[in-house]
Amino acid sequence: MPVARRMKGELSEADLLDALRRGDRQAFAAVIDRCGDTVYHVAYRLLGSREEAEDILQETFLQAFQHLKDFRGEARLCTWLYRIAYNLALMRLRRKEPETVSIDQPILLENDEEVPRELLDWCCLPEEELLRAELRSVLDEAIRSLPASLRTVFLLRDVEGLSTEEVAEILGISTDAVKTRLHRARLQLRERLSRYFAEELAGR
Amino acid sequence: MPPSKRCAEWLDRISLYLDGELAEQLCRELEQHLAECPDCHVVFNTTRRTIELYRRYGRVSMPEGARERLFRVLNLEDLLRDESGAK
Repeated sequence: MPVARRMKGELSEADLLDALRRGDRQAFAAVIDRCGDTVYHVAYRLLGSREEAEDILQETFLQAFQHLKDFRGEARLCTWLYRIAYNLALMRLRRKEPETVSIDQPILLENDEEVPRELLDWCCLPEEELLRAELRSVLDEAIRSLPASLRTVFLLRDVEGLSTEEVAEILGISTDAVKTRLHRARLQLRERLSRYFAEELAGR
Repeated sequence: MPPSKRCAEWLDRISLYLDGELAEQLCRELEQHLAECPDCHVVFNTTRRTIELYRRYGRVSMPEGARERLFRVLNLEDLLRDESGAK
């Protein structure tokens, strides 16, 4: 088993932090294996490109390791890293798409996608059936279509399984805002998947 | 057909219900409503399924090559050699 991966499961958060502060290089590797996938995932879902996600991955760890003294241990180490990654990705997104509305502003209910319209019950289709329908690309496309502010909450809460409090900390918003955005994201995704399955089943 | 206003109020609570954050009494009332309202039942089922599908298939991990390049950028590449030696 790789050295860093072996360390990943064994060290407590406090021990890992001590090791990092001592400059233990295996601890740096362990942090990459503990938090790297989610850092990459956040950047990829915000920017939509593997190359840019990798840039953010590198910038995040470079910045974090250079500024370890700023980490006060109030949040989990990974949470701190995700926050850095999110801010770096967001800055880049704003440079790329300056017209993007501020991600922190309340979301106006300008589209009515959260009002359920598609009432086909596809919940119990067998998994093979769903997979046959190029599920992954459908899921990708649906999540890409969400506003960035909803997308990030959904991926951190539902896909990565972080707590409401952690997501609030990463995005710098209230826990109530996390809950509201999560609910809206779920309903919008449900609507898009429902539309897809309705067409798919009608076409047979 | 869009659900009625009353349905909309119940649907607003399904995320809290799914996350185990809805008060006990409201859970029972929501369950009662879902049992009686086929449209809300569908929305509830398919929302739950949406979340399950993303949990199972929605993750994106850093590619193996990206991990190696990151180790190099951070001057940790000797640890990669240790890994390949340990395999």
